[in-house]
Amino acid sequence: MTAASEVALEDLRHGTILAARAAGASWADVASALGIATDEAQKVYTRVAWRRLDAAANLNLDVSDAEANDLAVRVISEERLGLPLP
Amino acid sequence: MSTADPAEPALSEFVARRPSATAPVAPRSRICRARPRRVTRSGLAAAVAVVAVLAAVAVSSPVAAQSGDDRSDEVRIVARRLADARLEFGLQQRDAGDSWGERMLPTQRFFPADAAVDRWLRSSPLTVRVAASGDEDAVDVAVRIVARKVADGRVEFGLRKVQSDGTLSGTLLPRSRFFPTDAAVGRWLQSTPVSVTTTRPASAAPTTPTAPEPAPEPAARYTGVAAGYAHACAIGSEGSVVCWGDNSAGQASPPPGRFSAVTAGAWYSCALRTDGAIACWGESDAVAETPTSGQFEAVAAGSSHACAVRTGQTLTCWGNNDDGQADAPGGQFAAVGGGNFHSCALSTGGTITCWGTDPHGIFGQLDAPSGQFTTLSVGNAHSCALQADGTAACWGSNDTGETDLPSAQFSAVAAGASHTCAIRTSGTIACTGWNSDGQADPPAGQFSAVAAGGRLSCGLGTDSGIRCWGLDVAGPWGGQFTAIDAGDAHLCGLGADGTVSCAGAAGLFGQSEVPEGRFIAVAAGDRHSCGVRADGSIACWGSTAYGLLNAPTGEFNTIAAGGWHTCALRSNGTATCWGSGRYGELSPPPGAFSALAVGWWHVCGLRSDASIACWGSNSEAQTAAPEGNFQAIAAGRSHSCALRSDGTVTCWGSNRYGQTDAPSGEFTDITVNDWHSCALRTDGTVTCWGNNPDEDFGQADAPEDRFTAVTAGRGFTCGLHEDGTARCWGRSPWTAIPSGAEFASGRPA
Repeated sequence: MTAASEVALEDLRHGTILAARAAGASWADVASALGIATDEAQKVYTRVAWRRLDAAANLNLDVSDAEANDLAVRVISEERLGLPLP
Repeated sequence: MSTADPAEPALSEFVARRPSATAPVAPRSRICRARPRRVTRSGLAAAVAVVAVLAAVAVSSPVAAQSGDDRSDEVRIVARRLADARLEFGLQQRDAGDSWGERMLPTQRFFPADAAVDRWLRSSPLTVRVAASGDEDAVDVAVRIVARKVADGRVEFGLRKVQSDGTLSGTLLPRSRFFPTDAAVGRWLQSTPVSVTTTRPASAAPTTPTAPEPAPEPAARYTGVAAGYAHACAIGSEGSVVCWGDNSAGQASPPPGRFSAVTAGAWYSCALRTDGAIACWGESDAVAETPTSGQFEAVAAGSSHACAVRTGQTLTCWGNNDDGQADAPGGQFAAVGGGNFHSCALSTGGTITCWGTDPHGIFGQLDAPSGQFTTLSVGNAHSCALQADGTAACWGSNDTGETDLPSAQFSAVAAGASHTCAIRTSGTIACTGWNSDGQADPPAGQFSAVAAGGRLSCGLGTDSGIRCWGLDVAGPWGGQFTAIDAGDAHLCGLGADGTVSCAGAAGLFGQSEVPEGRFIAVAAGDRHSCGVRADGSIACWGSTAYGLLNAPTGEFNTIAAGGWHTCALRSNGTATCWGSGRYGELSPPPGAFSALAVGWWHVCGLRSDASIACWGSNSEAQTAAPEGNFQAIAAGRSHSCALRSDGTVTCWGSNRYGQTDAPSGEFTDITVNDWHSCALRTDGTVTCWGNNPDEDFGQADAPEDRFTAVTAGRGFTCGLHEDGTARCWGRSPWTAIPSGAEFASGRPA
């Protein structure tokens, strides 16, 4: 498997996780559906979320460090819960 | 009688084995986009060259000046192997001229052949007479020689002063202090000199000879710990703060001073000074709005706001208040905690009050339980408290099971971003909740304090040591080293026992993941590290790009690592390089060298005749070495510096930021990075020059400590103290080298 295909598959799992979470599934439910441990589901979430946040931040060079940090706190916690951003 | 004997050989090769390094690195942090750079430093190699260099260094080498000392005299340790394999050792003091006095032999002066490895033994006392200054009388200083066997069979020597209360000072370690295993029987060898200093009359030396006995172990280390999203901080036993982990926002770069408590937010940290003031660092509204006046008893960092208990038990909060989390209520409080969008506080009466917002109305993090509590900890969207009987109560989000602590009696609890850890009354730790990085998988052991952050947790062991789990940021890096070398975002140290440990760059390319074994030299590059094993073979670890790990076979004694290539010296002094050779970096000229310095795209070598030869890229005349006699060399991004035999520094190549504007004076060590250069003065202080103002992390702002060596990395510089501990300044832009104004490798100074 190439690195690119690994990233694509991880993105796919991440999308599935977010959709399930937004629909009210617990982390245990998500992990069970994916056939992986709860810890692994959380690892997938963390890896992809931070990769995307890094990419976004690198495109927004004007954002201050404090703004970037506050945004990260909010985006990460809300996205993980499958909740709409306030 | 004097015994000046220039032919008497020095005690082995210690300084000669210091490695070199350099380092560029691709931007890693989303916040810090500083460009790469590198460092390098020199080592020595061939025995003949070693003696020549050491002779030059010896004139002004390790000055163990301590605060308040005003008089000093130089001594050196002498030792010889006896026919029965024991070592006999003594001391010589420098005379008024440059000659050395008679050997002073303590009663207890024989190092047994079967001594255990790493076990320090000490001699009976000797008296050194420190010369008078002005019209003052000369002062007698009692000292003991200490020695231990290291893993490769050599014996390491040092000197300790007997203080007025009979205790021993820290160990003075001569640069050249290892007695070789193959020394001829009966032939006296000498160390490089060390300075014995004093400010007051020293105690008389005890008259009763004592048998060799172990030297005392270093003191306990930490008294508190805190964890942020991906970094952690701890309070040293003497009140200094050290931090490690993600330093992308400066959250792992604490200020100097003495502190009684530390707390960590997502990307910042705060600590309570012993005078009651608060200091915060990193990036957050909570840092920008830190109270500048007032006296406080406690401080707690939320995600982007912080709260504190004033000395009158009232509360104050600052920083982000978008959700009312900084609207501190009135009343008398004993403790406070900050979450993501809310805060909670423990009143002096033991009840809990929460304020702020439950953004989606589903978590209940504001719904504090009724009752009496003794301890409170606040996470992102949940909180936990302990009752007097040790039972825990948690409320708020249980999305990942973060409030599901097992039924037990606890002595401490820590609510993290989305997980919780608590210490059972038995001393073991239980965690629950979000476990993306293993932050909820605590190690076994006995703990007295615990901290739960975002992707990691840390515990303070009952042995006063720190252990962390979760995100691989390790713990505070430490130890006592005989050499250190800084790479791009990591630092490696060579222990006296031959072990190597590296810190920084966690989770990147594995450049800090040292293989097992004993080494005699180590070099930290950009994305890789290499070491020379005790048998002379080379081991490299880290990035596999460009064949960086494909070290040649054979026997080597010196190594230097750069951005994309590495060079080493064989035992006959010839240089071999591997890795990327785009600009001819892998084509050293023939001949013997005694030291190497590897830059970004060029390499410089110190020939056995003390001249310099450089090869590789010459885009900014960085290989146009001057003529003359030199004792050390350093190569950077596009400039180089060298230490002449007379101790002066000269630099050449790019001077975009003044990095080749070397100061005047006499120096004993040199190191350069991409935009800054540093050198070690003969008094042990470090002077730095040049620096890119857009990438100024304080790496050129050397502290006033006395060092025996200096090495520069990307955004940071580190010095090696006489006692083998390291101190770093500046910061590594990502996955930081543990940093702190008082950081001294595992033992806050």
